[in-house]
Amino acid sequence: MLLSRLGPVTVEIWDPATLDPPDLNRQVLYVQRDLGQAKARTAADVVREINPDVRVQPVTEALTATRFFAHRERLEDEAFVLFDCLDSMAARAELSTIAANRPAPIFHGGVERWYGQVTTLLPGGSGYEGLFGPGWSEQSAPPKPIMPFVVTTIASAMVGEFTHWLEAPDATPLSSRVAYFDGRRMEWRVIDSSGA
Amino acid sequence: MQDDAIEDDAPSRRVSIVAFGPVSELVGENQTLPLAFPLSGAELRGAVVQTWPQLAQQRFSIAVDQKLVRDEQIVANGSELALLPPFAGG
Repeated sequence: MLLSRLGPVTVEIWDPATLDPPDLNRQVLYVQRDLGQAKARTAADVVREINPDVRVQPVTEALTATRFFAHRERLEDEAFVLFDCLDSMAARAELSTIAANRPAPIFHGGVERWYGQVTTLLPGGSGYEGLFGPGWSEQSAPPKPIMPFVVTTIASAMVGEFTHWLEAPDATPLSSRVAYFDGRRMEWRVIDSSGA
Repeated sequence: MQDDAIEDDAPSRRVSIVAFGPVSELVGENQTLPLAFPLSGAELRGAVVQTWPQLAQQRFSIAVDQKLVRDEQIVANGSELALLPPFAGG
């Protein structure tokens, strides 16, 4: 939602799921009448209502690198960035493959119950392995529920990073750091990841 | 918490532990750990797991004084150890 308010960007929204009741506790794009609907299409409709100047393309398939590049062949060959709002490390492995094949920054956010992390992975960096260590993609799905304010806090920080990247694409405030949010203590801790 | 996590002749110092997410629930609040630097990232991890064996199956990164440390890196000194699990959800 914040991204669409920034200006006339082009957005692809990848999500194969339909809206379930538990999603409504934290996914602020959706309302009750959207239950059972394809989340990507519904999100695209909301984005168009927020800002008609945003070009938005919903994709109701699970994200894989193969599908991503096959899909992009039908689109204009233009620069892109990747927002990691994914809910599994397996999906992030696909995102990592995309960024490796066609260098693009990844604005990463991850959440679990009361906690979250946000960082920006620029091309040429150590990527998810530098952030999470070897074997990172084998991490299992996190427990739920996820506190809604944690999701919106992390998402806002991701859009903040994108805003900084528009002004200075070689370095953002979190391109060599990771910000961890502890919603129980209401504390941020920013860790230097430049040596990782 | 055990006090004999590091068996070494080097003088040890108490390092405060800051943990996030599920790790914080396993470690608890306001913990410290005696550590004898210099130590590698792997040795730091070993000291943590020796003290809190329930972390053996938990994936987490370690930061010393707010700098991320890889297993092979040598850390000369430090006063705070942060235990940082990845948060995989979205």
